[in-house]
Amino acid sequence: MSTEEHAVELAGLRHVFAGRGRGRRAVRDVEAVKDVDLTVEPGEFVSIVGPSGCGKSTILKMIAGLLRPTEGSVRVWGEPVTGPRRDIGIALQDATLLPWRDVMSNCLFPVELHGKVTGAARERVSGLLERAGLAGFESRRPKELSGGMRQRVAICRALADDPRLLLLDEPFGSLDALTREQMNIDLNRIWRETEKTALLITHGIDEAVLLSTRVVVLSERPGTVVEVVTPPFPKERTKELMSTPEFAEVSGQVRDRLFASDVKVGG
Amino acid sequence: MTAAPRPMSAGAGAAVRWGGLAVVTAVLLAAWQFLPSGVQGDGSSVPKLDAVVKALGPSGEWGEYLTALRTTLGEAFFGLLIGFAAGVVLGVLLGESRILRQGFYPYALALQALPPIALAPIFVIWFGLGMESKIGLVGAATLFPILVSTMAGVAETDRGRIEMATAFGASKAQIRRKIVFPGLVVPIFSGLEISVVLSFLAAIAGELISANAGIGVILQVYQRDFRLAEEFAVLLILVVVGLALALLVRLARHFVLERMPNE
Repeated sequence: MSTEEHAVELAGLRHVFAGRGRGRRAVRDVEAVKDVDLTVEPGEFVSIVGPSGCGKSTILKMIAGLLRPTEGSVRVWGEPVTGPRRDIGIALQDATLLPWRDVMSNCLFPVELHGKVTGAARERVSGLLERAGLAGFESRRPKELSGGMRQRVAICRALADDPRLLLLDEPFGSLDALTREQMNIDLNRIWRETEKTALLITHGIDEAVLLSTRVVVLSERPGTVVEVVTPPFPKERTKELMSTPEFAEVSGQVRDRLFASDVKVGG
Repeated sequence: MTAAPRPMSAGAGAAVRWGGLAVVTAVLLAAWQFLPSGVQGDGSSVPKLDAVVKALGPSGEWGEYLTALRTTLGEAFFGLLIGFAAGVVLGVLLGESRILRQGFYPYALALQALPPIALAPIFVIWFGLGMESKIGLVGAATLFPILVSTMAGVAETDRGRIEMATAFGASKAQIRRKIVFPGLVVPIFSGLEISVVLSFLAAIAGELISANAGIGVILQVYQRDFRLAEEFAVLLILVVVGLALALLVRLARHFVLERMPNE
């Protein structure tokens, strides 16, 4: 089957948040995204960038099975998405760790939901935590960790049940610039070592270019794909890469496209 | 010009904290003992400190205090147990179901507006002069704070946590068991802190209205006999027990939060 080859396949995707009420206090329908066509191939790292409120997160939620599209179709590994899938790992802007669990047990949460926690699962999580620089923190509670460490735990949790697809919604959005840069380098390494397919939502242009094999630029709301940029860099990304003229050129390309419709970026 | 606040070492902080308390306590006790009776009223209305201490001592009625305290604490404990269990169960039900909440919450509010002491005479008619009527009264008084905090805890469960669990494929039952219920520990303890104080208060209030044993009863006996030193001795005991109960809840909260199982 040819569709099996795509990790994610979005076709003619549209989502409208229904309004409510009548008269002066009515909330109108909001068309968040429209006509989104996008495929993500296995092993890719795809970023979606776009102005605030362009429906980036809405797209991610539809792929995660948290929202239903108003029109169009979402397929993951060839199958239509009808709800949350077990082979998807997700990390959101807030780490949303459970404060009463320690780091290890927070990471095992998806494994626990999907079945029994085995020794093998614990070992896999230990390996992930080590790769994320969190070895030795297994029995700490979230309140004992810094913001950056919590986000790394959230990413380890997303990978804990060995998902085939990793969905990241601005996981470093609340971190300071320095920590964020370090996180990006770490994430690149984890992505290479685990060989997952990843989809990142971000409003950070440099972040998107640094991490991705492809950068998808969305328009202002209702969001639709206006450009796909392919950074011509090897899989391994470094901090040094960011100060090269090639990097600046690709970033500039994305930035130009974002500002082409005269929109503000950020958020 | 005001001096800039200086950083304080932990030792100095403790010294200020306990030193201040010690000085104030010493001054209060000295004033109690040595101020002339004109300041205190007519002298007989406030017994001197040494008389109260004597009433507390081995020559006093220590055994009687303890027996009464045991009865009162027993009523408070069993009443609180009932109030706690009912409060948590009802709180979860009302928190989870909007229909139940909208239907029953106004009644809960109406009952709360009723001072528990006013219920005492009815409870005595229903349950008699013994511990049962006081237990019922304590149950009625302690239920509400637990119910409200539990209900709020359920209804205000962090949306982000629910969304996260849903995205990982959690069922409704899993979300209740792994997200909602563990999150209730903190709000339930907030309710419990209020209810523990109320339990003691309601037990004594019930005994003052009508009872055959307990702190409330001996308070009334001493009042009738004008034994003010003994009356004050009992009040001192109540202060200590009340503080101990509040402290106990805090310790329990700390203990439970530190040792919550990883699931």
